[in-house]
Amino acid sequence: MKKITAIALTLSLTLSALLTGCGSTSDSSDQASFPDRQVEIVVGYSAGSSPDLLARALADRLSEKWGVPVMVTNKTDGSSATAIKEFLSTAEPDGYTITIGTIADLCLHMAVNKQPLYDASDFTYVCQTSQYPMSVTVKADAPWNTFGELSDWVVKNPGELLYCSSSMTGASAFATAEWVNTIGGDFNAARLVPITGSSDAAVKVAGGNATVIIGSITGVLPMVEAGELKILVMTPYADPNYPDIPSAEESGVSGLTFGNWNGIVMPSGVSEDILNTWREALGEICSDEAFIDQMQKVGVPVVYADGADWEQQVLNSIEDYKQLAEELGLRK
Amino acid sequence: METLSYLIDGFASAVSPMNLLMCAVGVLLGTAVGVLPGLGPSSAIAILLPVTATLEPMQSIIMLAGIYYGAQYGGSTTSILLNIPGEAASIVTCLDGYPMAKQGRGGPALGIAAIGSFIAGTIGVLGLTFFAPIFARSALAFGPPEYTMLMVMSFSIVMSFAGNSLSKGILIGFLGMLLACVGPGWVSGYLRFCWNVDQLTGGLNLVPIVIGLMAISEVLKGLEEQSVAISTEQVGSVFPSKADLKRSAGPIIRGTFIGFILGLLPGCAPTVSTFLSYDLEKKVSKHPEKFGTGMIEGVASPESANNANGVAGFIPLFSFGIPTSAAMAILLVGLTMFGIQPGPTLFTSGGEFVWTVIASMFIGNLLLIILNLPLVGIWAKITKVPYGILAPVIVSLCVIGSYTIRNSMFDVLITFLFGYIGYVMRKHQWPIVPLIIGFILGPIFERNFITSMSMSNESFLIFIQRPISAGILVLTVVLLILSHFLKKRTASRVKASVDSSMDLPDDVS
Repeated sequence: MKKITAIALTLSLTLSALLTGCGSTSDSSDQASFPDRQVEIVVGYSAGSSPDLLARALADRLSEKWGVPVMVTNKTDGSSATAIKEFLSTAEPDGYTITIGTIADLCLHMAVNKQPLYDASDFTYVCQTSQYPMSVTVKADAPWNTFGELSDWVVKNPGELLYCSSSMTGASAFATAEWVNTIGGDFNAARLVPITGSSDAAVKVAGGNATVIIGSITGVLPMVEAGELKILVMTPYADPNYPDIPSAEESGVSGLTFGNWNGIVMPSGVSEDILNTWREALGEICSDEAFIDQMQKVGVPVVYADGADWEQQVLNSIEDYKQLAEELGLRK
Repeated sequence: METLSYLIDGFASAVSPMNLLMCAVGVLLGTAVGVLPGLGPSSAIAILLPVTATLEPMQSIIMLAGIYYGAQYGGSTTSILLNIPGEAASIVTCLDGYPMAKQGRGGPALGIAAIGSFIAGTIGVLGLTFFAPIFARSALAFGPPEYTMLMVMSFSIVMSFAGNSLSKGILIGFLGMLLACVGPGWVSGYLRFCWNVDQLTGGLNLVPIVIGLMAISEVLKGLEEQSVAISTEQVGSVFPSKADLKRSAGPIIRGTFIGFILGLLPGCAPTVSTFLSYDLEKKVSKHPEKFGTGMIEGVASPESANNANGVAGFIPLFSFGIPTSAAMAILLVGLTMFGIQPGPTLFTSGGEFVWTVIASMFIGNLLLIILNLPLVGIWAKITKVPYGILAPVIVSLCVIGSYTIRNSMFDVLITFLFGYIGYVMRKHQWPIVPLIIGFILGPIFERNFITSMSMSNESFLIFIQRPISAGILVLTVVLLILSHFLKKRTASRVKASVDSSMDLPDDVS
């Protein structure tokens, strides 16, 4: 009998606490109470990678802002795509778990695979936090001094181009494919030199084992400074941090659009209020000068975008790359 | 002279309080790991790698490197005093070290081991200082075909050197390569050996496999063995006499040389170099029959060899990104984790990092000799902790280490699975080295082979058309023939001196 009384008492106490708790916030809806516990950022890339650096910097700012712990979890026991698949199957759409994806996860995966592990409709798109132009880099003593000269050579010498990319479907391969296609060259004749990362690519190009790497500038910069490599252009647009390097357009090749970016997504079905809380917080962080500087230093330039326009842009990109992959026979 | 000014900058950065502290922590942990049976340097580095991820890259690598070369010091203590090799590289030290201790000359034995280790370690770091940048500069000339041939050479060496039988070495080496194939294929992304298990789609990770094969299996084996060693209380002065020093000078230099050269080659871990240097000392000695009865040469030479060997392994790691042992492979994982790419750029633009680490090794070696001589007694006491207490502690460390590397419970299962596999392999005297080396080098071989094929439009001629690549191929054939004779001699000589059923040991750490 005593036991039952005790249980009843505990229950009623809990209930009343809950009710009063809700009573104070029910007027201002979920928005005011979110977040009231730990937030987790899942990253499908290893520590030290661009998405990881971004996640850790954001986590610091967010926990300062919200007063709750924000944890970064690196999930690298599969590919980044399997990490997202696992994220989608375990995370609740309550705003407490988010993930950071790259163009490879959020566009190319769906564009290349006929049976992707997830679809665009599985996500709630929060925002884009950063965007990078890619650098076109060749050996320092290579005969080409402009992107235009390199392009002419590629068109005139089909089968001679050795390009670097992690795979046939990597971001660098897409950038190279778009470029070769645009200038009227034969991409299918070009040969792939597979790489493990952009710094590996730098060594391959500097050693004369590959012609060109189109990829992140941070990976090639050390070898450029050592005088082994030269950067011809930035694509699709010039990087304001490297004003001396022209854009592809300025070097006589127009029509290139492919660039890399990082976006933040949650599982589909997150309420509008929570989504807005996230966008507000991230938008504020991404307009903070100190944060922009900090990210610039680690090579993850902040370019913020959100809302329906951005979402539409992502969806359009998927279709565009699907088409390109189809044309190049990359879609499987 | 450029090198010297870089090195001085490195020293300036290495003596900063935090770097100095990490160096001290590293060498102390390393010594402890060397003393403890069941926890080798490679598993210790594997376990601590995720923990150090919270540090600055430089501090982390300084500490992990300290553990690695510190362990070579620690191993000698228990070998000499208790006849228990703390790790495989110290087995040879038991042969003459323990008899010395029984004669009440444990002190000089420990002293000469520390002095030999210090000299060899310092010469090794000097070699690293001057050779690594030269190698690194030439690394640009090494394209995918050259790397492919380097890997072919490495495999030939590992498979023929490790273990007691060539066929076992080849079989297990290929098993290691197959295990490395699990996950998405290079370039194609085609999934191999995944059997619809999501966690396998990213491939198997090196860290849980090393922890399993090295630490867990060792613990399992340790639990069933009853230690019968008798501790010798009478240690005597740790300072060797003039006569001892004179007798040891030659062996230390020869050991250093052998250790250093072998350290450059994959798979020729400290263990192998200790056997070879011991054998050489016996050969050049006027009293080969006295070896095994407490000859100080038999302690000085192998102890120098394993230290020089450990340090030399950093040369291929830093210049080419080629790991020569499990411990080096895990250090490479650490470097990549921090976004540091080994190769030519490491010594130029990223120079501060590598020179600080190298400078810290000079300091670490000094710290080791200062710390170890007076602390010998304390280290020896560690081994008196009952194994029933030690084993669970080691196992829990293993679980934490393998979980945190990727936050994956699956990896913990992999650790135990490989712990069991390692135990069975040890029991049946199948060598473990080729498995791990195959797992580490297999993907490097595959990647460079595929890249070479892609570069040449699928023509094998690329391997003999390029002079360096062809040169390595010829060298491989020569080495294979040479090692065939060398191995026969060493094996019989070592067997003769080790009267137990001890096979050539299977540790790569």
